[in-house]
Amino acid sequence: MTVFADNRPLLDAFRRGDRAALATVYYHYVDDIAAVVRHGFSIPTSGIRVRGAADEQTERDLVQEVFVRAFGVRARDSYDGVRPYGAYLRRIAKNLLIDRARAVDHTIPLDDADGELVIEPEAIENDAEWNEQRRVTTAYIAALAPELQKLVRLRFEEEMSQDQTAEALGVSRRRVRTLEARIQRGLRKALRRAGLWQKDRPQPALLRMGSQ
Amino acid sequence: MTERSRLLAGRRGLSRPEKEMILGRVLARVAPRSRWRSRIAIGALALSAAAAGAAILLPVTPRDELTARGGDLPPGFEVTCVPEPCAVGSKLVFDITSTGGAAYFAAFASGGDRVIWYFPNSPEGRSRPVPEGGGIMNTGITLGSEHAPGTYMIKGVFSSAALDRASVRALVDQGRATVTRQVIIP
Repeated sequence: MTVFADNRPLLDAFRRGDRAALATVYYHYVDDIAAVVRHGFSIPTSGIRVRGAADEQTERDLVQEVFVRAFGVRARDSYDGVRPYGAYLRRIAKNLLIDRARAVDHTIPLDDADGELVIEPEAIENDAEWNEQRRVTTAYIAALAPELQKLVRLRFEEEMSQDQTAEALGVSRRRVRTLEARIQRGLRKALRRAGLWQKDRPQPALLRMGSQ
Repeated sequence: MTERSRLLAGRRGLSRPEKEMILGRVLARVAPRSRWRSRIAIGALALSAAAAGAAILLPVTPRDELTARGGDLPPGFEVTCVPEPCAVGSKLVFDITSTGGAAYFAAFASGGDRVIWYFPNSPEGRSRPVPEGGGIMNTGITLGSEHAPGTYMIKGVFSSAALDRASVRALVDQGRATVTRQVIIP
């Protein structure tokens, strides 16, 4: 069911470009779209498999582009509030992935872009690397103070906003931001100590650029 | 290397901080805050800073021959640290909120007596093309140890032609074609 079902005020606010309405729609669909972008899809009728984003940065960029296209003024105005909105977003994501695939493989036929979309199951490659990083992360979290452990649970595992987390912890939002940054810095150090941080990390751009 | 917020969440998909960052960028593109609201926010920030005895440089929105015409709004940009707050290791993301019709963008930070160049990224380089219609610059800046804790004024220069560093500095020194943003590294 579309997020706009029986919610005319949301649809009106969405069409106006109200930021809160856009955020509501975004959070309703972002996980679904991220799954398409991350895993790619196949077109069973032709046996074509379109790969998902190769890395996290590309994944974020593609998800961003999907919503930029869908939330543009013209796209908002032309949406009737009845057609399945999730399917519309998926189609944008699918077309973005196909465009990327065609950039390297021009044999993908145009008419396949309208084929059925089947999201691929999560790839299992890099499981060992992920498991090792998670092992270090879990040990790091276990060693944190109770307040910080609770923040990790609320903010990262339960995906609360900073405001919600602040309210749940009885602290200011600024405090949440400070603690969140401290947790991430600490994790980076833990990963570095375990020899897991520098491995794939790109060199800081400023080191290449130099400064004057 | 896996995004740390995903490791903390224990899931491989987008984390909440990543989703928030993406949403922020999307909204900056499709529903930028109205200018009067931004001015109120900046005014409030300036007032609070003044009360604390600090000085804040307000953005300058110039119009001269080096700023290409044609945009509906004066050129502008925002900088965001990902993740926030800014710290060594964070990535500085430049979001061109309005090109003002300009085609190129240069930026550098000044803090104390130091200048750190972002664009052009080499002494021989020139300013970067702005994304068509504005948006996120495709190159972010990873904050290294040269960004010691402190307050940095980031100056962005919009122009219709690609400029070298000397030309950019000359414009800034003349107070032209410049938009300034502040970044604090705690």
